[in-house]
Amino acid sequence: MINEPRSAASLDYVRAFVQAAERVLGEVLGEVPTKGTPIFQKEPSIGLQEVNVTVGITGDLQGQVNFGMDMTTALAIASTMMMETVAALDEMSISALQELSNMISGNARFFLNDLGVKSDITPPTMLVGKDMSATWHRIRAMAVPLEISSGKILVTVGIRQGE
Amino acid sequence: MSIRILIVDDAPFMRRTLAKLFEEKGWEVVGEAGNGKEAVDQFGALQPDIVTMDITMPEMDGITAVKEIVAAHPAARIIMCSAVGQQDMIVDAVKAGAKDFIVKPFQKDRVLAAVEGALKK
Repeated sequence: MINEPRSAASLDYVRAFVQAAERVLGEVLGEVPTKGTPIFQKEPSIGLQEVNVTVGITGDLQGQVNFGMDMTTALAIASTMMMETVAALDEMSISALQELSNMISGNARFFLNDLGVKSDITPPTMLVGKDMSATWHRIRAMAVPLEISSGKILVTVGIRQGE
Repeated sequence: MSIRILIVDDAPFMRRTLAKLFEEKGWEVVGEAGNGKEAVDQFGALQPDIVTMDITMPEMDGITAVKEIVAAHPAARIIMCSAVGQQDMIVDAVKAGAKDFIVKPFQKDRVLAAVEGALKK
């Protein structure tokens, strides 16, 4: 059975990651992102952005969360985090972006705990490229755009109850 | 007073961020480790005044490393670095002998205060 993200519980899980992203981006970048209109994915495959950091969710919940953005936005975020201009992604700037996703996921875990849900987060995976898509097994995802001054971060959450 | 610090984190970015912060303060980063096993090995060789220890790392996690370091060096002063949402792990780390914890994203003043505070414990 495919999980639809429109159930109240699933929306709570999505909200946990979006709230966490808003909080962490606010602290790390010094600006509160503006939340855009959520997009319900109609197909199992999701369109990826140019730079993507994906974490897996395990425990009471199973699924993935992807933080996608264009290269300009990724470099701007890395530059802010590293307090120097980053012209291209390298080991250090990739580590910075992965750590950002770790911090967001850790905060989301906190919100999920409040919902009585025990979850763990897998180490982040980074995908860089153009015209990519991913297919998430038996999950329909929901994407929420977060606008910051340097561009947009698309937070795509696909979660279902664990089995 | 120069404080000798060992930084343990699997993320190069976090190691660099902490190293810059400590060096700006005039403290000495005597070593960096990317997992708990490296931390245990390096602690014995370097005998740092302070260790900052990430929790989730490959090969050996931070809590296991704290247990091993404190078992061999009971006076070790270790500060855990955690993400929000890892409170249960912080409790385990303090039981294992960690002196304090700091939460990511780091607040500079809080990090420096934790180091200075741990030296007084």
